Amino acid sequence: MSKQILGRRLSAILAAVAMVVATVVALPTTAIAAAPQCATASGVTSCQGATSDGAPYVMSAPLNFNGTLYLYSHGYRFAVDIPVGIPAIGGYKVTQTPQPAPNADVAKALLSQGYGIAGSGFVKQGWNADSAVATDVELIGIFKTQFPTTKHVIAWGESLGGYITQLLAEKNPSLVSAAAPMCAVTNSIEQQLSVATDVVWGFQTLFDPSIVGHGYAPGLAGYAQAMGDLGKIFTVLGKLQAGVLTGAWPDTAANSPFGAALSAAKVPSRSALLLIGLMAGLPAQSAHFDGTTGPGDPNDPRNTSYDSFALAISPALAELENIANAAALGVIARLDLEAQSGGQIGDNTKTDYAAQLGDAAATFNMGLSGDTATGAMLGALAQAPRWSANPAALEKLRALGRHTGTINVPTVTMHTEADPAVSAGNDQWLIDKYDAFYTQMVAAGVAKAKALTKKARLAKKKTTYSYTAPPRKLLSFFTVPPEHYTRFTAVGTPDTSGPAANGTNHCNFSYAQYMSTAFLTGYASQFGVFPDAPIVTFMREATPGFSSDTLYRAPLLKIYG
Amino acid sequence: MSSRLRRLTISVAVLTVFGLAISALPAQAANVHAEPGVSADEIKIGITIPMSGIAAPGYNKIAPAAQAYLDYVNEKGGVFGRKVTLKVEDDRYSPTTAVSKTNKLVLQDKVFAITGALGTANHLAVLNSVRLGVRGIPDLFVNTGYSGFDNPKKYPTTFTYLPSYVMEAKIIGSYLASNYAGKKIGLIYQDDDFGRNAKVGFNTAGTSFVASKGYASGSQSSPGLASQVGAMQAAGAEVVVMFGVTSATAVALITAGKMGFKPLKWVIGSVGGDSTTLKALGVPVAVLAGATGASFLPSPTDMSDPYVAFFKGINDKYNNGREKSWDNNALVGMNMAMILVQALRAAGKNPTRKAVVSALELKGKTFAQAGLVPLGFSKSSHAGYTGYWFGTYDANGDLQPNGGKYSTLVTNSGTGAVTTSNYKRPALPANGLPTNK
Repeated sequence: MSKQILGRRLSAILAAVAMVVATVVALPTTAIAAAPQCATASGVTSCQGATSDGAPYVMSAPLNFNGTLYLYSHGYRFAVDIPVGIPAIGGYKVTQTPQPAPNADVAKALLSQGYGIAGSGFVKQGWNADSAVATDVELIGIFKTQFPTTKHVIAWGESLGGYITQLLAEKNPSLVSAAAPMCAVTNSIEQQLSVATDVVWGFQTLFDPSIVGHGYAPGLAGYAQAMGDLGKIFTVLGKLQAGVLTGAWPDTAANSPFGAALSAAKVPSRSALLLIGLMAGLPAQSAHFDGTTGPGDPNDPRNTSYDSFALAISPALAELENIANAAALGVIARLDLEAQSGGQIGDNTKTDYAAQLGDAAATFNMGLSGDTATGAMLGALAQAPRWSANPAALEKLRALGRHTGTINVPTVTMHTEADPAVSAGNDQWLIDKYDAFYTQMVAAGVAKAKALTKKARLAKKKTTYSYTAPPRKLLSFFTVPPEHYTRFTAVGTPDTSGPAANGTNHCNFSYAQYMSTAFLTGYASQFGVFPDAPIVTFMREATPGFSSDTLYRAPLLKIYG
Repeated sequence: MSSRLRRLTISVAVLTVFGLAISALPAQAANVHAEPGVSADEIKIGITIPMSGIAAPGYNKIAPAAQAYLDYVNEKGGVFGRKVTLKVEDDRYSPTTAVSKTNKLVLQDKVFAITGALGTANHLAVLNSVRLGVRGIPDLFVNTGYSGFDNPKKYPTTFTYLPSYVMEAKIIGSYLASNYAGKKIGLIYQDDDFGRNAKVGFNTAGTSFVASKGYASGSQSSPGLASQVGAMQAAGAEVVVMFGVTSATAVALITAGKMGFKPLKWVIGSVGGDSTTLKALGVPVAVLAGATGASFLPSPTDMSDPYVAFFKGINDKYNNGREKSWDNNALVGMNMAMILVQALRAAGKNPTRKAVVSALELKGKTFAQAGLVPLGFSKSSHAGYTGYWFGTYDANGDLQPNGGKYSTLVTNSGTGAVTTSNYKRPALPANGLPTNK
C-alpha cells in the first residue's frame, strides 16, 4: 500500500527472517502446496512452503516455543506492476513474498520471547480478503502440524491485512484466540473507496477533467488509463504545490468550467485543494504539516506569517501530502476492484458535499478563504456531473467478504489519528458496532436477571438474580500527532526530509506501539480477557505516542453520514 | 496463587520482558479521585485563549485579569477553603492548537472545568473533537457570540458569555433604524460563522445595506481590507458597520483614513471595539472619536460604577500579566472570574461537574456581576448576556454611553423583538467576594 511497506520495511523483515533460515528454498510458482522445508539456526526453526493455493509462506518458532503463534497478514499490495516514472511507488513489481511480522525488530523480539511467527505472501495481490482468509486458515493448520505444541493463535495484520484479520476472527473464532487488526479497513472496502471517489472526482472536476478516475476499461487499456491518471494527479499536485502561496491554479483547470470559474473568481487553488480533502474526510494534518506551526519566531509580533502559514497554508499542504500518499491506492485499488466487480463501483450521485464538509467550514475558514469562497466552491461541486455506479458491479463488490463487526475474541485495534489512506474512522465503525452490541447484551442480561427475580418473587421465593457484565473484548488505541512538528529550512521553506510524525501516515507505528499491541493480545490469548484496567491504562499512558484519551472518537467516514 | 494474582504477576513479568517500565503502575492505580480537578485545597480550571499571535492584542489581557481576581479570592479563603487555580493555555487563535491545548487541560492537567474559551472556529473544533459535553466537563462562559453554542441539547455543559452575534446585530439594526433612517448603510463583516450570525440578525432587524463585504478570518493583516473599505466608499455608504475582530477593525479604520474615506458614522461591533487595543494597534484617536460602539459591561473608564472601580483596584494590585493596563478586556476577564466563583460556590462545598451545570441553570441569572443587561442562563437556554447599550467614543477614544446614561436594549437570538431593558443588576458583594446570597 505504501512505499514504506513495500520497500525498505519488507526488505528488512526478509533479511531478518533469512538470518534464521539456514537453507533458502526455491518456491514453486504454480498453485501446488509445497510442504514446509525447515532449518534450525540460532535457536529458531524457520520454514518456508506454500499453501494449496500456491501462496508462499514463512513461519518460525524458537526452540523454547511457548505455544503462541502470531499470524501476520500483510497490507494491500498492488496487483499490477507500476511504471518507474510514477512518484513514490514507481518500479513496484507484483510480489508474493511472504511477510511474517510488521517489521524485522518486532519479528526478532517475538521470537526471542518464545513466540512463533508466520505469514503468507498470498497468492493473489490486490483486494484479496476472501482468498487470504482461506490461506491463513490453511497456514494455521500447517503451523500447528509443524509445531504441535501450539496452543494459541493470535491473528494480526495491517491495512488490508487488518481487514483480513478481522474477517478471519469473525469467521473462524475457534482458530483464533485474539486478534489485532491494525490500521485496518473495516466493514467493507466500499466505504473506504468512497473517500477515494470524493478526492479523485474532486480533482477531475476542479483541476483536470482529463483524469478518467473511474470506469476503467478492461485489461491493458484500463491499466494505461489508471497509470495515466496517476501521472496526471501527481502533476496537478506538483502545480498546486507550486501555487500554494499565490493561489495559482494548475493550467489544466482551465479545461474545467468549474475550475476556470473559481480561478476567475480568485478563489485560491489551495482552498480548493483543502476543500476536497476536508469534504472527503481526509485529516488536515499530514506526515510533515501540523496545522499549528509557521516559519520564524512565534513570539515576534511582526512575524504575521507564522499564523497565516499555520492557518491558511499548512492545512492545504497537509492535504496535498495526504493525497500524494493515498492517491496511488485510490486509483489502483479502484482499477483492481472494478476488474473484480466488472464495472464502475464508485457513486457520488447523492453525495451532499456541503454536509460532508460540515463544521470544517468554520474550523478551517481561513484556509478555505472564508464563507464566500467556500460557498462558491460548494456551488460548483453541486452543479458538476457525478459518477454513478454500475448496479451489477456494485452488487458484486458487496458480495465480497465483509465484516459484521462481531468481536468474537479479545481484539486490539490500533490506528494513527491522521491516517490519509485508511481513515481512523474505520476503527470507530468497529468500536461503535461493539459498543452497541455490548450495551444491548448488558441490558438484556440485566433484564433477564430482573425477570427471573420477579418470577421468583411471584413464586414466593427469596432468590435474587443478578447479572455481572462480562469483560469487554475490544481495546482500541489511537496514536496522536504531537502539537508541533512542522520543520522549516534556514530560508523558511517547509522541510519535509524528516520521518513522518507519530500519529500521521498509514500504519506508521513504532516498535513500542507494536509491542504493546502484541503484549495485550498475547495476554488475552492466554487468559481469554485483557489485563485489569490499571495495566491497560498504564499501557495506554506509558506507550510513547498512544493517546491516553479513552473517550477519543475518530471521525467516522463521511459515507456514514 | 489465585487466578487474578497469577494474571497480574504474568502481566508485570511480560511487561518487563517487553522492555516496558513498570515504575508508574502503583501511581496509576492510586491516582483516583472522586471529581477530576478538585482536591482538598484546590479547584483546577483551564482556559484556552490567544496569548500570542494575530488575535492576541487585547485578548491576551483576559486571562491575567481573571487570574488577578481569583488570586484575590484565594487570598480571602478561596471557594469554601479551596484555591481556584487557572491553567492558561495559549491557542494562538488556531482551532488545531485549541483542540490540542484543551486536550492537554483535560487529559494531563485534569481540570475540573474549562472557562472563557475564545473564538467560534476554535471552540467548534474543540466541541467536535474533545466533546466536553460527553465528558461532562463544564464549558463555562465561552467568549464568542456564536449563537450555535447556546444549545443545551447538543452542548449540555456549554454556557456562553457574550450576547450572541444575532442579538447584537438585531440591536444594532434597531439602533440604525432609530437614528439613521434613510441613510446609506454599509457592512464589513468577518466571512465566517461570526459574520453569518450577524447577517441573520441584521436580516431579522430588516436592515438593508448598500454594500456588504466580508473578509476571510485572519486575512486582514496583509491586504489591509482595502477592497472592503473601497466598496463602502464606492457605494457612498454614510454609515459603516464594522462587525469584525479588533485587529480587523483597526485595519479597516486605518485603511479608511489612508483612503480619505470618512463616513458620517462608523458603528463598531462590540467584539472589535476595545478602545485601548484599537489605539495600541495604531488607530488614531481622531478617527475613533465620534464612532458608535456597543457594550454590555459598563465603560471601563466609568469609576462611578462600583464594579468597575472595584475591579480596577484588583487589577492594579493583583494583575501580574505582561499586558495589565486597565481596559474593557481586563473588565471582561475579571467579571467572568466573578461569575465563575459564584458557579463554583453554588455547586456546594464538594463541587461536582454536574452540580456546576445545574447551579448555573437554576441560579446563574441571579449571580452578582458587572453586566448592565441580564444573563440568560436557564435549563432551556445557556445564553450569557442578552443585550447592549450604545455609546460614542470620546475625544480620548474611550467609549462613553450616549447621553451620559446607560440605556440598554435586550433581545434573543430568534425573532423576538428588541426591547428596552429595565434590568437591575445585583449590587457588588461586600469586598467583591460573592456569597451567593
